[in-house]
Amino acid sequence: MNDGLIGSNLTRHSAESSERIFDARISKFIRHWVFRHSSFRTRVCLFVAILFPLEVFAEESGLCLTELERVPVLYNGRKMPLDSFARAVLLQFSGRQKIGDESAVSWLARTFFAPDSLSPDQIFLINHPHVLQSLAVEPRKRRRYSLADLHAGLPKLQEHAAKASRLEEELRSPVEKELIRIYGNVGMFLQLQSSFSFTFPHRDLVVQDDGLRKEMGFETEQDRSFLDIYGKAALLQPYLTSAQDMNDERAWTAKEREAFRLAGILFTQSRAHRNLAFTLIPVDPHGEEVWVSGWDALSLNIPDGALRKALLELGTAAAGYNAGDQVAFDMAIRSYRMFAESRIGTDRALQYMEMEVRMNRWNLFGRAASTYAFAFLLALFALLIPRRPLRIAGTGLILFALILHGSGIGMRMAVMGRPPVTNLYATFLFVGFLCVVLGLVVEWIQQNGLGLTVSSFSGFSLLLVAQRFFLDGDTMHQMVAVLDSNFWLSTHVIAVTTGYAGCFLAGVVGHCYLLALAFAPGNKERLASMYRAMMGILAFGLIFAFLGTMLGGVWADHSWGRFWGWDPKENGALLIVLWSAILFHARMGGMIRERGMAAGCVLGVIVVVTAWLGVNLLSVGLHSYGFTSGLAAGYYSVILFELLFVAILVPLAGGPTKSKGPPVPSD
Amino acid sequence: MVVACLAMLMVLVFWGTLYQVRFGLFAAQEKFFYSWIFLQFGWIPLPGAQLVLAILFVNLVASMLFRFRFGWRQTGIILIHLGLMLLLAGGWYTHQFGEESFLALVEGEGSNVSSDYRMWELSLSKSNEVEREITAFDTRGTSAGTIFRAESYGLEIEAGIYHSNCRAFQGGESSNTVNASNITGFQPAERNKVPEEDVPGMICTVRDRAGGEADLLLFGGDPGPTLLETADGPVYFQLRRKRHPLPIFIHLVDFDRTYHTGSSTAKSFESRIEVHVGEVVREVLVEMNKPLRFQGYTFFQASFQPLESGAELSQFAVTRNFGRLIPYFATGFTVVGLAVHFLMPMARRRK
Repeated sequence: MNDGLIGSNLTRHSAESSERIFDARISKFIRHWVFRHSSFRTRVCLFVAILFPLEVFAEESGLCLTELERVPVLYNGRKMPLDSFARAVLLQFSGRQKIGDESAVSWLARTFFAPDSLSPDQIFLINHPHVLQSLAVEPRKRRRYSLADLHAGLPKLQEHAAKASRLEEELRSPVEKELIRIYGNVGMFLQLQSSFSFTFPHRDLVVQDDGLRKEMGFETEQDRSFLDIYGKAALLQPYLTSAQDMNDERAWTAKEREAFRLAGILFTQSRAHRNLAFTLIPVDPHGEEVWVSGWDALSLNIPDGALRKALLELGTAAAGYNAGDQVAFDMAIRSYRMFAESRIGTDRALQYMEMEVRMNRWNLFGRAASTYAFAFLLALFALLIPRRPLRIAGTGLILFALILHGSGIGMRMAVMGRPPVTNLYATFLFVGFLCVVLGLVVEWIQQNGLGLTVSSFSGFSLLLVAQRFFLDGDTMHQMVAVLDSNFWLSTHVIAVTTGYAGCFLAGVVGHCYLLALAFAPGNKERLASMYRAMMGILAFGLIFAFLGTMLGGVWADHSWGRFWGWDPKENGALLIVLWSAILFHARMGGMIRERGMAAGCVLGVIVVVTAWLGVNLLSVGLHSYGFTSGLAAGYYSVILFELLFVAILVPLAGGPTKSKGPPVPSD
Repeated sequence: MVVACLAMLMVLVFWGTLYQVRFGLFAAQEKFFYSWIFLQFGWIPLPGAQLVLAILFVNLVASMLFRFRFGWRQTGIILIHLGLMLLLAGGWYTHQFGEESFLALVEGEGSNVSSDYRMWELSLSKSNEVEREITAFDTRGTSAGTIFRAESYGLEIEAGIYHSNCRAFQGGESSNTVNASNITGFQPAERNKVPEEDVPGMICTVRDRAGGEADLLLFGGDPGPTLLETADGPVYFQLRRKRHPLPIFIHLVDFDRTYHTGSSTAKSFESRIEVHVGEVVREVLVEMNKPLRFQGYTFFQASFQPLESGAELSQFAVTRNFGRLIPYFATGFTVVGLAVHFLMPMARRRK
């Protein structure tokens, strides 16, 4: 017992302290690296900058769940730590990764081990007011409702959802879709609540017969759990067989009658809990790996001592949780986890589970985003007051965020064993990363704060958009067969996203150029350098967009047998190439000048967004790999904003500009 | 001119993409991308992508010949445009001469012909054996009154009714047409979004040398051919998907699919096939992203279907395309050209 106490506390401490050490190392590294070469003022700036993103890790109240977080779970075809599962499920329900201050895993542990049929947790996001009306639920400000809120409306919900799901998918109205979604979520929640109910004492499972109770080793007449009785099922067996041999029920002894009653209850209960969604136990009954819930593992009745022991450990864990006994809970979960890990064997998913938990906890992208935001403010400041220390501070800050951002992408790659971009969410992470790198290159060449402004802005905004995609739940899904090719994922996809990054960043610079032209047309030198940066980035974008589009053709030729098929996504990428080509040709032919070019780049953002997201909105074709709620609104507002921007600023930027751009190579 | 063409192309691509949502990929391709001119609202003629691309090509050639100044500085520009010319030419060549068909095999089956997705043919044969002599007529553009002459059978076939897509029915009023599967008539149906799903039907009058006449009803969904006794002996008629002969015989040994554990997301599809080239037999595994290539033919794993018998049907897409590598070279040229063109001024400025 003592050993366990020390052991579990040690791991807990080492896990947390290693994280602190990690953060400390980063800040030490930066302090050491930048401070050596900077003035006092810079140091002050940097100090503030570094403090900002490093929030202190908040300690959770109640039991420490670091052991539970690491338990492997199979969800949506991916083996993930329970922490990721908790986050994905909570996101799916509520669109948030936390409820109030409580972490997802803590919520899930409560749901598992101390379920409440009138749970007051406000976790169900209901957007549509009509849904509330039809369920007779009072609207709440935050649009999130608890099981207790919905309790009275549940029969109605079931009825409506059943009706709605009989409709064909295209005919369903938003209300009906929402009803189906909420019904699914409530159902899933109820399943989660009963995932561990086999470990809870049940009032039907009292062994009433004294003799039988003694034989089973129970001392008092009290409620037992499914697991308790199940563990002693072998003792019931002889009574069941002898009872079955007798045709006349009246001739049964009291023990036989009691054994029969208990067996019947076991049977009904296990029937009632079949195919629960939460699968954590890897078994291979027919030589094929299958993951099942605790209930199913019991009812499969596999003659496997280790499995039986592991299930008993889950019972101990539930009891430990409810008794607030940290040591018992940790030990039970840990030995369960060792069982599960031994069953999974040498799967690569297992090796990176620890890393995934860390990645979830560190929230690297969130921190990177807030650092970018801060750097953006600093960069704006640096534009107004061009001082070297400010620029250095901004650069340092962006570099710091870039390291967070990059290591986040790196960890994702390690966990998935894939190239950086595998789904729509990842494109935002990656394009954001590239934009920041490109912006820093611009800054390195021009050293005037422009690069800082655009890189921090695009880093921040793209990460912000990426956060919205979190709402899909798990962001590391398995690839479907047709996309399953690391080679093409790392060539075609990278090239196309680099193209997106180039054209997007050129658009951001285009905004700056138009703004500068409208409000500070005097600074010819700055305008000229901005123009150069814009053209360079656009050219970069064009090269990669073209390369990516064509590599896409090559991939298509390899796997579908045609180079080009006018598929929406292909067309989208083509649009980017065409638009850039039009801009370059129009500029060379003298049809547009610097101002037109900048406006063109700004409008290019619309083209990029169309290729990037618009195609997914169409939801046809081979490439539409991700659908996300709220996407359409964001997409149209970007278009509207860019159109307005151009419409307002181009006239404001004055008539034909006299500023002489760099010599344009004519063809 | 270039800008106008590119802009028009952009409009077409965008419009065509939106059009796909409502009318399907095939219709969009026909209307916007593979057409020279199409009519909008029935009266506004607009150039199709074919025309725009052709103009672009001519424009490219012309500017290559007359406008470009050749010199080291222009290397990039010239490479880019050469590459694009190659790309356009290659695309046109592929579109014009490429062939797409499919091969559907149940485990244990084999074949040396593939079927066309859209085109149908009227086939005649003297026996119902596997090895048989077949005469086939392409049914494209068939309408009432079209006459097919099969000299070696001594037959003249006149089409009475031809529907590109129709629904057949059995029973009802007895008609005097001959059909092997007791179909008595059909009703024309609207063309499908996906033209592969269209099933044609045809009623034709067959006249033989001796002056005998019979009305045949042929439906694309007929499970087998319809037999007709003629003056020259029995003839089997069938309306079927156009066949393309393949240089190899393919025998499907086994089809296998796997899913990611505990989900319905497919992990892989693969077919183990035996390829017979003349007398030589070898075994090949065709997977997603790993096709079989043979003399300009490429066999891709396209789809599958579990059958009631427990066996699985695996479908391969078969393409025949000799210009397959052209886009590869074209892409290479253009990308190098772009890189050279945009990097050269930078390098010069550095100096």
